[in-house]
Amino acid sequence: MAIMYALKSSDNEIFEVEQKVIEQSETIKKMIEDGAATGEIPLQVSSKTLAKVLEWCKQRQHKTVENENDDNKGKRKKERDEDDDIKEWENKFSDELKADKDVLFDLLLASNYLDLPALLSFLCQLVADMVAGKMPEEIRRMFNIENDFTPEEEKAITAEHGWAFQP
Amino acid sequence: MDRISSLPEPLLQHIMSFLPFKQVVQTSLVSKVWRQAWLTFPVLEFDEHSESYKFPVIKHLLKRILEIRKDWYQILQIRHRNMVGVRKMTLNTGDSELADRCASYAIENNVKELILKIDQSLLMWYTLPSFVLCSKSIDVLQLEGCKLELPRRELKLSLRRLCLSQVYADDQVINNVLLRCSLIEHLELSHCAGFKSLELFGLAKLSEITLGHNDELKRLKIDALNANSSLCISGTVPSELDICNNMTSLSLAGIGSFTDEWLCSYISRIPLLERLYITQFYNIERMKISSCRLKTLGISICRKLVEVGIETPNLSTFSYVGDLISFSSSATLNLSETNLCFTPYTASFRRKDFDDIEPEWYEKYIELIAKFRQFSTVVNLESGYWEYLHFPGELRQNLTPPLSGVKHLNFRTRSLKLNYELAKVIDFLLWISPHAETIYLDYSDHKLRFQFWYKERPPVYEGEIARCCKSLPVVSCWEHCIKKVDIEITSRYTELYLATGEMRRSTKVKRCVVEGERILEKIDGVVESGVSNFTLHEGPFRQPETIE
Repeated sequence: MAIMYALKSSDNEIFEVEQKVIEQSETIKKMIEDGAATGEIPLQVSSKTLAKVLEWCKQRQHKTVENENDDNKGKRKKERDEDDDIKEWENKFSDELKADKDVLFDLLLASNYLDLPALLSFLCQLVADMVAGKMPEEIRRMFNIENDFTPEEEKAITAEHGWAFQP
Repeated sequence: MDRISSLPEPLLQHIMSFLPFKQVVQTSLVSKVWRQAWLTFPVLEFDEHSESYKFPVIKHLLKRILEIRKDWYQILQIRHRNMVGVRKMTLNTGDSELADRCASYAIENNVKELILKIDQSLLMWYTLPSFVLCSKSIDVLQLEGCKLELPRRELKLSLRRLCLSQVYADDQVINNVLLRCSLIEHLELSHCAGFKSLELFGLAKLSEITLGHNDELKRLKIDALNANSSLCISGTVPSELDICNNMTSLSLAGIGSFTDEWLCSYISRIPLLERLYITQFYNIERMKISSCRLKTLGISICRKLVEVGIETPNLSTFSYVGDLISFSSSATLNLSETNLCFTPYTASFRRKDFDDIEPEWYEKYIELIAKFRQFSTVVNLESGYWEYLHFPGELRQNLTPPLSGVKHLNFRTRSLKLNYELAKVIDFLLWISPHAETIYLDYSDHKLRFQFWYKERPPVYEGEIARCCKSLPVVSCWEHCIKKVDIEITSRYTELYLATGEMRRSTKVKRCVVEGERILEKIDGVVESGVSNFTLHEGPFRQPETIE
């Protein structure tokens, strides 16, 4: 019988989760080990974001369990199929995030707070892919960033690193 | 709302770390927050050759390189003044003064990873400042085109990974450095000069040793390593070779002067060996390998090889690349996987010779595949050139398909012109393995997966037997038995980002279903258009109902 924990989001919603799933978070793992996690574990994460975090954790957990059960027979083919499945799942997951950047950044902060290195790297890579190949002006537009440089400052920066701004 | 700029700086820098360095510098123009993130960015990557291809005229290239160096001197100066540290530093330059500056800035700031590549065009070795080999902070050190000298202080180093390429160090220096790397896990020496003797002992964490083309190395002594260590030697093998017997993985490549007996006796002296890879042993004709723990054996491109005899009761994976051989095993084999890539040598030299291949070659080829099928759960086939699989039709009638009963077949090839050859490959594979459920075809950047659905009762052609069925057994006449084919194409392709000139690899998956008459022609057309422009019609795709 799997041990269950109750996570409480910042808007007071309760999530019942298996220990194995939630222990991927170093932060929560520590709370459990320190014995601070009796009853509900209060987290500074909204229910909407927490649901997404758990979606990721469950998928990862699923993957590791399957690998453990693998025997040698036909492993190659199985691995290939699994890789494809995971890639497909990740693609869907990232497409949703790309469509709603607020969720994306909430999730990024949550993965940092909960200490989920794999999710954090995945999300940083995702944002980097959105930025890659874009000029500064395009990046500003994409993320609603205000240009707080004066034209003179801009000129100075461009001059300082001339090579980087040449094609 | 601007969410990205309100992220904590380390998170923004984490995102930036996935960008090419040039774009990291460009982002300093986005806003003040981004500029601050750049000013303290912990990774520096100076590569003056990264854009050489854009400057075909040498005069323009040199001008550009000088500009770049000037900027980098300035970056170093600013960071030094602001006391900004660095975690990872990469430098690829021909400027030895810049190299000195970078090295001292990096070491002063307790760099973790240092990669220095110095141009060989200087005609003189760049002498690595001796303080680099006294640094206690460096985890990973990679040097190219340097000369190492004996450090003044004999400190223990905390290196985990050391890679030297085209480095000059004499016996005393190299052995002194290695002796102090008690935490080292990975060591790579290639095209190095100066040392004749290498002794590795007491390095309890060392698990991966790669030695390539160190032509002056005559004596190699390895002792007391990690229990799970691997050694890979290519180019020349030292004449005096003394390897501790707890090595588990050994890879030998491109070694000409050793004989059948040498190899045989050598292998038997490493009792714990589990993985053995032998490549380009041009002298050896007969290979006898006996090893009771060996699990993986790979033999490739041993040109004179005609016979392989093994005595390896625990072998589970066998891979072979080369011409046909006679194969025997004195123990009962129970392999989980065999990878076979047979190519006639005459054909691998001159491609036009494919037509000259004797029917006997094909017979032996089929025989060998059938032989491996007997003691291997999975047999994967590969072919460097696939033209020689233009299998003479009459042979098919006389030979038994070697992989009957195999449900999932893997086939890899490097050369394939999809527009007219794919159907022939599929036809061949379905003869090799009649009524296969899935065939994976892996070639360069594309992976194709075919899933076949067969008619429950193969059609009986009374009176009007289709012409193809007259000369072939019905079972191999796949065009008449197949109900439909699900095709999945996974393509890796390269995208060019214009702003940075950077190339990126991406993957795309396309799926479609082919059914009805003339499936063969349809497959050809569908795959060709799917691979060339991704305009494939996307159809429903079902998972296989039974997986073995």
